Amino acid sequence: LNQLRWDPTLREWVAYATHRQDRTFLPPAEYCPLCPTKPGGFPTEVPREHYDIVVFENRFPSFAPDAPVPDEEGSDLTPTAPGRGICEVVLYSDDHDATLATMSERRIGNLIEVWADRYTELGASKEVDYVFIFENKGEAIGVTLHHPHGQIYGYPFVPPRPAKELEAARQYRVQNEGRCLHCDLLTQEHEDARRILTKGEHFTAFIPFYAHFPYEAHVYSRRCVSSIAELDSAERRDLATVLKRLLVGYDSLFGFSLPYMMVMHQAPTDGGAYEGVAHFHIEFYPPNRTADKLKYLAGSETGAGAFIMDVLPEVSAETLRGKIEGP
Amino acid sequence: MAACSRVMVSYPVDREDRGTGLEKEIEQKDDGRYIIFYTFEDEED
Repeated sequence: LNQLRWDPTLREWVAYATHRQDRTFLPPAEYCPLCPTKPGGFPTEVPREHYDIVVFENRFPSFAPDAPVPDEEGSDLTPTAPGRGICEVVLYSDDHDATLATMSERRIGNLIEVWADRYTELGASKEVDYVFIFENKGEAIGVTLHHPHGQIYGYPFVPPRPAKELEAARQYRVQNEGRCLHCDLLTQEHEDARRILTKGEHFTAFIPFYAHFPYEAHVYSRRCVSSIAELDSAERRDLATVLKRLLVGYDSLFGFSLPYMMVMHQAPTDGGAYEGVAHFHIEFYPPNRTADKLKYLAGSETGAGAFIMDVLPEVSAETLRGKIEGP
Repeated sequence: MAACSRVMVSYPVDREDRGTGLEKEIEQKDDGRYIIFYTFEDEED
């Protein structure tokens, strides 16, 4: 069952995928379904003894290409729609114990090639209006499998948060002689410098002035490109370098492999014009505010949509920057 | 878990001037889902 129900109070779709209740939940390492299939071993999702990077359709998708018209018709006020889209799993490595932080820059660079390829291919599907590349890492985030992997959702609509960001950028562009909101934010961060975490030749990682999590980090392309697919070879290599530095810094922060949500924001693939509006960037939201305390999305954050923070970004940036090697 | 039944396509990804080899093989599992194997000539780790 994959269906969408319209929430007219927030003007957004909610996706229902009830089969996901049965998905594999924290299996022991020897029964990891994302590891390679070993001779004589149980058959995993990957029928090979070794692999570099693998992408496959999620067995428990939130959206499916052939989702039927829902039996539940809804109403004019609260319509329903088929939950049509694509959900992929991206396996970063066949090493069960690896994380993005422990991988070489070269492997991260190869992963960037795969992400760019998936953005292009899924974005070409008429069912997909937005290609959302993300990773949930750590049990604190609710991951059900520890093997290093990320996910890609090909949404049949532009999801609310990117849509809100794109609308803000579009309005800013109209009101500011065609300038890019994200380019101006990046310029401001460079000039201020207090929240910069690390800079490569083509990418900058920083904690934004308005961070919603204590150690939230944004990785911006300095060139105004609308998607990961537009990055040239030097930019892709530099993105790998900056990601590696940031991720190693994250793991050094509290002395353990830091949980996080990693998401990419880029141009929708709905046929609209997004040049100078969408600016490719990656956002990280680690839930930890200390080694043993988490930032919860509680009443104000969830019910009012208003984030309350108890640490200034300048302070957390100084702490995290001290854990990052490199410029 | 389903096994793969057949190779659907295998081709190099267009990488323009990126200089390293990337092979992409697409197969289909018995339950109809696709699986894509990306292989890198320059893989070292």
